[in-house]
This record gives sequence, structure tokens and C-alpha cells, in this order.
Amino acid sequence: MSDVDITLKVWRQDGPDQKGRFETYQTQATPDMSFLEMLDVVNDSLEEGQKLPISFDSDCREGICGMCSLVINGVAHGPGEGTTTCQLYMRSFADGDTITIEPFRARSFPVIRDLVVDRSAFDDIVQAGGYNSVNTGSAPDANSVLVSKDRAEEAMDAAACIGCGACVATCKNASAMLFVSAKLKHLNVLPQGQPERRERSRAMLKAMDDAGFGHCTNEYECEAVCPKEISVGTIAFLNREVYRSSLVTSSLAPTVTGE
Amino acid sequence: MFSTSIGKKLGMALTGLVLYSFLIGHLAGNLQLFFDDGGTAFNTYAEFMISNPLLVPTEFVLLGALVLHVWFAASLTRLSRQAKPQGYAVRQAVGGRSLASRTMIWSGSTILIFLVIHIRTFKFGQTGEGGLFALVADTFHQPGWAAGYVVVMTVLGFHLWHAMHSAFQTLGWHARAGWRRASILMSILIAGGFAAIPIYFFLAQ
Amino acid sequence: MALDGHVPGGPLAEKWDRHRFDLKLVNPANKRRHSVIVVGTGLAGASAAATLAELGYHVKSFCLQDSPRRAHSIAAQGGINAAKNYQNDGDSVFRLFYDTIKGGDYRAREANVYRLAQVSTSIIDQCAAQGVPFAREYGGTLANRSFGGAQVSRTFYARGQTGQQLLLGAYSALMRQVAAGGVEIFPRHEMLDLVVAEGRARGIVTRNLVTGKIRSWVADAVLLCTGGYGNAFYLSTNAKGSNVTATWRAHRRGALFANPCFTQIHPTCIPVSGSYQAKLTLMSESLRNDGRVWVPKQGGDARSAGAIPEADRDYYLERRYPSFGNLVPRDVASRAAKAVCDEGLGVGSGRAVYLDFADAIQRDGADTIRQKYGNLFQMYEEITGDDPYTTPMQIYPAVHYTMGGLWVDYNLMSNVPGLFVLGEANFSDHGANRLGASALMQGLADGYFVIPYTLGGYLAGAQLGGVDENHSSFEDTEKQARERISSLLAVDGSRTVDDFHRELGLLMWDHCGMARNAEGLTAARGRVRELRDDFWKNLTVTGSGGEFNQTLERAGRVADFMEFAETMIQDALTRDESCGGHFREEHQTEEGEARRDDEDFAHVAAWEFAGIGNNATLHKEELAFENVQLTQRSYK
Repeated sequence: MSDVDITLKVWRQDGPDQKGRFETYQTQATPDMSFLEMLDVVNDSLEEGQKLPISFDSDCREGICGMCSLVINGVAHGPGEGTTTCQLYMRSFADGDTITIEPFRARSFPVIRDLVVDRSAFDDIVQAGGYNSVNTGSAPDANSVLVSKDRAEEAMDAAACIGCGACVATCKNASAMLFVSAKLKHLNVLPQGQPERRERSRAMLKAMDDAGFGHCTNEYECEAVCPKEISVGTIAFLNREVYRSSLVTSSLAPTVTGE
Repeated sequence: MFSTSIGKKLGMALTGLVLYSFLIGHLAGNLQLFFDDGGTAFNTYAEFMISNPLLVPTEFVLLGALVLHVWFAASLTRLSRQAKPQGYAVRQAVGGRSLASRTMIWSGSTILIFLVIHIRTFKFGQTGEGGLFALVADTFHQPGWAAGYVVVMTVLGFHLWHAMHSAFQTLGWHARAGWRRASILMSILIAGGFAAIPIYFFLAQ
Repeated sequence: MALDGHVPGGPLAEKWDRHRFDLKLVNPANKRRHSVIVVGTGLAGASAAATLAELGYHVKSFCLQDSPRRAHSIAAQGGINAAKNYQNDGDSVFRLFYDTIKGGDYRAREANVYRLAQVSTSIIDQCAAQGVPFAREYGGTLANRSFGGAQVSRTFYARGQTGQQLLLGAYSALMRQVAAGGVEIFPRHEMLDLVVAEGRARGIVTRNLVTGKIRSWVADAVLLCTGGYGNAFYLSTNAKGSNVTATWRAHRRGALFANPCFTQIHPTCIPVSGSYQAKLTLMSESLRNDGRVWVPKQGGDARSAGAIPEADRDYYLERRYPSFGNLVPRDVASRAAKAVCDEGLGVGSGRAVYLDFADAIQRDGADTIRQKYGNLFQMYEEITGDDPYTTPMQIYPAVHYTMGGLWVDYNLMSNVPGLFVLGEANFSDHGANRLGASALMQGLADGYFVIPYTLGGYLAGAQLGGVDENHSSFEDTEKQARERISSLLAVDGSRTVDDFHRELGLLMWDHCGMARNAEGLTAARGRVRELRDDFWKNLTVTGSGGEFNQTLERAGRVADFMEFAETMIQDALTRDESCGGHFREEHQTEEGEARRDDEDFAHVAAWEFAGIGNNATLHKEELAFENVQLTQRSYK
């Protein structure tokens, strides 16, 4: 395959309170380049010309740290199922394509610069209850609490969330339900998570609302862009847990099966 | 509970399902319009409904559900606008996002306006010799009314397209493709059934 | 300088228990008055910060990333070792200790490694209680697998993302303490320097990466949990942000840097495809369980892999190591790949070998292979565009982990009192080569189960004077940090930071990578000096210091790599033997295997900073082996 000529329309914004604008760049890419490497090359040439490079977040560049973001041609993390932006390769684009790149947009994800946004609201939600309260040293032998294989897999499916925020970015309501439900379900289906199950559900819902995220209108766009392909069934689980937490007054709630 | 985002969605789902059940009942009653008996059966049914002591309480329940449904919708739409003050320059729908799902607030608003006209026309309209049946027949003999009703019923269909599976998902009952197919089928049946009435009377004149 | 590891007396198995009893305790009421700075939020940093806060200390936690959850520990795939012996297959604390010491080619401290093996079992308990979704058997017990050539099944795992799951466990504990008020977190903050006041580490200087604000933070102790320096090679499997700055700055303030030349090259990575490449991607080591490694027997064979008949293929690992075959340890597999490519037998770009699953697919069926490696195959295809079910993978070694790091004693304290170093950032447990699934174990051992005791021992005995941010040491250090930022911005050249970094990396890879020799190392040292001079003359950094500026961030890190690289080369040059990941071509057996020199080099080489461009001063900590026999590793 040969090189492709690409036109980029990139959102540039100097700071959180500044007005942004689109700027256009021409670049050449080889099919084996990752999308972020293509941006690296653009930035290299900008820097050589003493121009400010495009700010964007990335770290591990192998789809697990959740640092990279970007809405590419209207899709969070761009085309391709179950991948992050850093796992997107230029062979997904054709010669002459125009690619529009915008930051993740949500009130709770304010832009820091260009394509970089602040996702600390996710940390706030986890602080509200996304943990089991076990101090170091107090744990029993790991095999003293048995967890069925199915249950462990179910927890793992939810725990695969990398906290990238694509679900919020793509949702027209900037809802964080897929993220919150994944965090909640990971702990709430495991026996180790039962003692705090009810309080966790309440607290994380409140934190989610307080952080300014929207509601879920069940359009399942979040599931489509999630790099870890977390199912919207997880959101149904969150709904059940929330109703349960307001009905059940004892924390000795029976163990339930998830989806 | 109903002050949280999930609580408001629960409110939407529950009130929506009440209204949904009403639609099914309403359609079932209206199917008597198709009986080839000059309207006897339908008028008898209409009389029975009007004289039923349970009518007023039921109407209050329905009105309450409607008001709450609208109120939750308005509240959630405002929340959504606040949460996402700026959209994207380029937007591509993915997942289950459809024309129906993203126009719920507009289809809902259209139905709300329609309801006022509909109730004024048929509930509080002047019935003569031929009873409610004649009123319906007369109304739909007019091409404007017939066409208007068909259009609005199509809009209703769009609203219901996304309604049922969405409500069940909100209630915590997620059964992926099944619910969505059922939801779509139901929306076609209900909207089609209602739309058949004006078409029938218009063509039958 | 006398280098005392402070290893407690007594029999190996009792050292840690005795030491814990001997350590002074901090009165619970006094813990609240002690403040601790933790830099880095990976497995070591997050576990330490959370645990110290649970004990009552006031903790400030800093990280580069936008959230503590994103530290690079998250990328670890394979698993975590623990001597649970749940499989009843003969594992024990002593066996894990023995395997680790031997795997490290006898260049680690016995007492530290034994303690690591001892606490490994508590780590699994702690993580399971936190809700880490480890793989399970149908009966509900924890599942194990054999990993990295170990003869017992002691590796616990959570799909292919054990690192993320363990880190989320530690991060959740950290978040709980943030909510409880015991920890303050400072994401998007970079440590620029260490503050040493009155002979003790008393704080750090940071730059807020969002606003560019530089400021100092004072505390009673500083914990560096900032990971390794693999990105000195530019191309590595490390995250883009991984860097040496925190440990290098501490080194410049007096902390000794131990065994910097010990780097691990992982054999199964996706080869370099172009000059624009930003990083290399690791393909899990588990692939070698079923894949066969080969190259064509004739150099320049232009036929596609499938068209090359068996007779024209060289399965060189199976040929050279008949008993271990494709499962030889990482360092051996890496060097063998380099050797065949050096002979001109490499495939693709010439710097790659085939990892072929055709036999495994024929034997077990494509479905079985898909179940085992489906996600890895998919990842490979996304990156390269080739389908491993029909075409053999191309792989090549890449820098993966660094065993060297700041020197620490048994208490994980550096030679600077009050400066503790945990996880990959220290040198202590892996010797000259790290075994698979041991990095996660060490990070969590340090953070959960070692530092909570040893930090208390230090604080209880330390006379901490009234030092605050107005102390002259803080003012001086902060001023120097500002000046450094200004001088980076003041260089009015035309070469970009990445361009310099790439050149440095290539230089290090060629001369201080998988195989090293005195001539190459000496030449490389000269070229590093020249490159560093050029850096300070021809660099261009756009933007200013008072704003979000990723170019400036990278410039500071590369400037430190430029200084650090020279120490790494000096260490490689001075260690005139081959051991583990350090292969000196002058010291090999007739079959090309590493030849250790236990007589002269059974020591830790700890380097003291002596100014830029000057040779660092060497301090040796002799390693005493009282519980294991030093043997030659053989995988024939």
C-alpha cells in the first residue's frame, strides 16, 4: 500500500476559557502509521516551523491506559470496533480523506488545551464509593472466599473499563452511566463487594449527578465506541442496583446474579 | 429518588408505560369503528365508557401520568443541555442511535399539541344523531383532517419506536435485540392501527 | 562512601520478622503529624500512598498522568507471581526466592529477594479482598498458570490485563483515602527536583503541567515510585511519558544510581516499521508456548513465509536449546534473535524473525488457538495488517523493563536519609534479569508490605528539624528548577526534542542494547556527549513555561536522558562480564552464552554523581550468597 495524502481539520484552543477554532493541516501518512504517530509527524513539522504543536493526550499507546481520547470524524476513538485512538492505524483512511478531530466534549470534561480535556470527574466518582474498604493487612486468605468462574468473568467484563471517557464523549447527554455502571458492577457482583453494595450504589449515583454528567436515553452509542466493548446491559444492572438500594434498607442484601 | 438522574428516567419509564397501556386499550376500543354496523357497536362502547364511574379516576391517572411524563422530559432535556453545552462539528451516529431516538423530545412535543386538538375534537366535540361514530366519520371525510391524523400517527410511531425497550432498559431489564425488535413491532402495530382509522373513513366515503 | 545494605542478621527466613520487631514504631497520635510525599501512582506508588494513609500519615501523591489510575503499571499483561502453592506442585517461599535469585543471574541481594517471596502471598490476599477479578477455576478457587519458563504454576492473572486490574485495586484504595482525607492527589504534576535540606530528603519541586506553575512541597520523607528508564532507548514498550527525571534528579542530589546498565529486552515485540514510530508493542510472552520461532536458512530469501519449505527453515531456538526450545528465558531468546538478524537472516525489514503458529493450528485447530490468543492475534493484525492465522507473525526484541535504579538498603531507603525508592525505580530485587510476572509482585510488595514498616522505623528515629518551604534549600532548588526551564526555552535552535530523543535512543540501542562491547560503548559515550552539547545548542522548544506545554515537558525529560545515558554506558563499560540482560560480547562461552565473572563482579555497582561530563564515582556493595549456590544458567 502506498502513502496517503490527508487533510486534517483540528480543533485548536489555547486554554480553558479561550475561544477555539478549527485549523487545517495537510500531511502524508503511511498505512502502517498509527493515528497518533501521524499527529506526531504533523507536530514535528509544526515545531520545526516554530509553530505551536497540537496538544493531545496519550501515554501507553497500546490501548490500556485510557489516556488518549479524540473524536475523529464524529466518532469517539475513531472508526474501528473495540479500539482506542492509539490503536487506530492510517490504513483505515484513504488517499485524499479529510479528517476532523475534536476534543471529547462534555461540561464535566473541560478542555485544557486543543484536544486535551480534564477527566478528573471520574476520579471524584470513584472516590465516592468505587472501592472495597479493606485496609492493607486485614485480608483473609484469597481462597477462603470462593468466587464462581462465571461471577469472576462477569466482574472482569465490567472491570475491563479503562476510564477513557469515550462513553461520555459520544453520548448526546454526556452521560457517564456506562463508566459508573462498569465500576459499580465490578465490585457489586463479587462477594467481596457485598458489605458496601447498597451504600456504594447510592454514593456513586450521587457523585455522578453532582459531577454534572447527564442521563441515559438508552441509545447505546456508548457501547458502540467503548474500546473494551462493555455492554449496555451493565447500565441496566446499575439501574437495578439503584432501585434496590432505595428499597432495601438492610445492607444484608441477598447476592444477586448480574446480567 | 425521583430527584436523581436515574430516578427521573424511572419516572419517564413508569409514566410512559402507563400511557402506553392506555394507547393499547384505546386502539382496541377504536377497532370497533371498523365494524360494518353503521357505528352501533362503537357508539354503544362510547356510551358505556362515558357513563362508567371509573372514567373520571382513570382520566385523572392518565392526566397525571401525562403531566409527569412531560415534566420529567423537560427536566431531563434541560439536564442534557447543561451536561453537553457544546456539540460536535462532525457527528456520526453509532450504536442504537436512530432518527426516532434522537427526536423523542420533538415527537413528544408534537403529540402533546395533537392531544389538545384531539381531545377538543372528539371528547368535547358536538355529537348529533349518529353519535361519536358519525363525528369520527365526518371529521375524517375531510382530507385535511385525515391527512393530519395520518401524519401525527406516524410521529407517534416514531415516539414508540424507541419507547418500550428504552423503558424496560431503564427499569433494569436488558434483553438486547429482542426488546428492540418487539418495541419496533409494537410501534408499527399501534401507529398503523390508529392511522388506519382516518384512511378507512376517508376512502370509505 | 561505605555502602551498607542494612541487611538484618539471623537466618534468611527470620530476617524480615526480626527486623519488623526491631523497627521502632511511630505512636498512632504522632503519625497524623507526619507528612509523606509519594511521587508516582503505579503499583508501588498507589499501594504505598493508600497504605500509609490507612496508618494515619498525611500523604501527598503526585503523578504525570491526568489520573492516578493511568500509571504505566496498567499495561502489564501476563500476571503476578506468588508462592501460594495452591497447585500443590512443589512451590514454596524458598523456591520463588531461589528462582528469582537465579533468574537474576545472582546479582540481587538475597535478603531482599527472600522478603519479596515471603510477602508475595499476602499481596494476592489483599488484591482479592479489594475485588481484583483474578481468573478462577470452576470450583471458585484462584487459577494459576506457569509463566516465563517457571517449573511451577504460581502466576495469578486477570485475563490479559493483570496490570490494570491490580492497579485499579491499588487506585481504588488510594481513592478511598482521598475521600477520607488522608491523601491529597496532584495529577498532571511533574517532579522537577528533590529538595535535600540539612542532610535529609525533605521535599520536592513540581511543575503543574496544566498551568506551568512551579512550586515546592515540604514533607518528612519522600518516596519515589516513578518507574524505569527504558525510554532512554526512545523506542521501548514503555508508555510515552515514562522517564528518568525523578530518579535522575535525586541522583544529582546525592542518591546513588545502581546497576543502570541492567535493562531487559523482551523477545516478542512487534518490529519497528518506520522512522516515525513512537513506541513498540509487546506481544505477550505466552505466545512462545505455541509459536515456533524461525528464519530462512538463506539470507535474502525473497519467498513469502508460506512458500519456504521446512528444509529451508532454521528453527534456531529449538536447534540451539533442545530442552527449553522456544521457551528459553527472555534474555537468551532476545540475543538469539539479534544473532540471526546480524547474520543477515532476518525477515521483513531485516530486523525481525518469524513466530509461526501453523503447526499449533494444525495440531489444536484454529478455534483452540483463537481461544488462547485471539485478542493478541487481533491486536497484531490491527497494528501490522497481517493475519497471524495465515501468515507467521514477525517479532523482534524491544526494551521492556529496567532492573537498575536508585540504590536502596533493606529498608528501601536510598543513601539520602528520608528518600525511599520503590518498585521499578529502585534496583533491588531482580538482579541482572527479571523473571516474567515478578515486576507486579515487587511493586506491590514494596508499597503494601515493606514501606509501611520501614518508613515508620525511619520517622520514629529521625530528628526532623523545623524545615519549611522558606528554608534556603527549598529556595535554591526551586530557583534552579526555574532556571532549567528557562534555559530549555532559551535554546534557539531548529531540531525538535523528538529528533534528539530518537538519535539518542538509536545510539543506545546500537551500542548499549542487547549486546555490548568496550569499543562500541567507548564510542557511544563520546557521541552521547556530542549529542548532549548539540541538544543545548540546537534544540527548539515552542511555547512558554507558564502554560500547558507538552514539548517543554518532553524537552526536560530528554535533557535528563542525555545525562543519564552516559552513566548507563559507564556502568556497562565497567561491568566487564556478561550477566542476565547485560551481555558483553567479550565475555561469552564458545556457544555464545553469557559468561559471568563472580570473582570480580558479584557486587552492586552504585554510582555517585560527579558533575555532567565527569566520570561518576563507583561504590560497590558486595553481594554475599549464603543460601544459594552460584551456578551457570543453562537451557540446553
